[in-house]
Amino acid sequence: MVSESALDAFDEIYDREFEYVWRNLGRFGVPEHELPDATHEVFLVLHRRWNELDRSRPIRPWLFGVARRVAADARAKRRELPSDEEMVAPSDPMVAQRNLLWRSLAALDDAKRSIVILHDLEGYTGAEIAEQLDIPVNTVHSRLRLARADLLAEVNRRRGGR
Amino acid sequence: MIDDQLPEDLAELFAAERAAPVAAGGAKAIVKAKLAASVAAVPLGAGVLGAAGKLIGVLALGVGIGAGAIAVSRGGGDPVAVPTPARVEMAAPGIEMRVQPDSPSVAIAATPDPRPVERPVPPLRRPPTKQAAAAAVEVPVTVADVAAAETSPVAPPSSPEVVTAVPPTTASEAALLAQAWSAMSRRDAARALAIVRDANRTYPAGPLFEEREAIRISALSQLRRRDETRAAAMQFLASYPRSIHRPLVERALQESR
Repeated sequence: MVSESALDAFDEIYDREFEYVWRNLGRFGVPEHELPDATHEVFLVLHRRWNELDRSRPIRPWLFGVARRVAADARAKRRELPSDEEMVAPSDPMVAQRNLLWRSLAALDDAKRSIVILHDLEGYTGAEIAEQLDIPVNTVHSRLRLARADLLAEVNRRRGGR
Repeated sequence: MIDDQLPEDLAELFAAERAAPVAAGGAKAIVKAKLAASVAAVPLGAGVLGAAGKLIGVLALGVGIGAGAIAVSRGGGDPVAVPTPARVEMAAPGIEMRVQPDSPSVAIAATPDPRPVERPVPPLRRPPTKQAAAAAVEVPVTVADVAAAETSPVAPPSSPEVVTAVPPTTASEAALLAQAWSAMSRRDAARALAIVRDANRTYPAGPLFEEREAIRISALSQLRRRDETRAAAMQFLASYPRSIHRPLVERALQESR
């Protein structure tokens, strides 16, 4: 029997983490038109696996992992990134900047992309990422430096070869 | 310090990304309505061992693809590997997921469970959003409505050129879907059918048509209207071969035979 409090807790997580899931799916390279389905899929997994969730642990690392895998699956089905021509140019300059970043992130390999997202966009410290990914702190730092260099090169390439 | 080495160009992009709007207005309500429809008859957390879990599309669950990853079929397509939530941690270098050795390993075959689902518990009871709730209207249901709903299934829109009678508004369409779900969660399939029929009349080519069709087929199945279930299910599978509701519809189709 599902308790009222569990149902409330699920709804609360949905309301609180919807944007987190949506945003990270975008960062992982899911095209904007696929974001509703991908987000739906992440929360479907949460619903299905609810009883196995360890409530004493933060939910975001788990959602991050699910989102990463849903995005990877979507990418595998697509086999390639949507071309720039498929993207509708947004009128909001902030959205244009965001799209540039998301598409540049999508060009990184998964390990580098994840560290940039966790450190530079989600604000985790190197030590926290090291614990989360079970890797040495020095490895986090070195990968982050490489990831930033690759990301900057990709951004410049997309801006026109600066 | 790592932060000292952040190139200015990237710092600006990161700041813009954080400031940019995340999801388009209404997306949260639409996704929640879809979620509600997907889990209409599924108790929260019933995805692994509960019969209802298979109803929504757990075609294949298994541990062993990677370490602790679970394959979840989506819309009859390729499996999606997702982490097992219990004691899951991300590991280097590719943030692969792993599970502590004491986590239970469960493998469930893809064969649909022939047992009927008993006493479904509504996992999401509230309408998608407060906005949607405010827009929701009680749908008057009469015996004639129910009869019409059961005998006049609405065909899926055949082409993008189909013109809606009323400009769809996401909130109200989502609210109707939530009402249909709510009726299904109370095992009131007749009312769910009537609500779906009403929504189809108002939003014949609305973005949530596919979800309504899945509810309609599930409702027809609950009512043991096997011929109609079979016809609607086959049409649905032909129209939406990659639908996330495919397992639900396939189960209804199986039960109608």
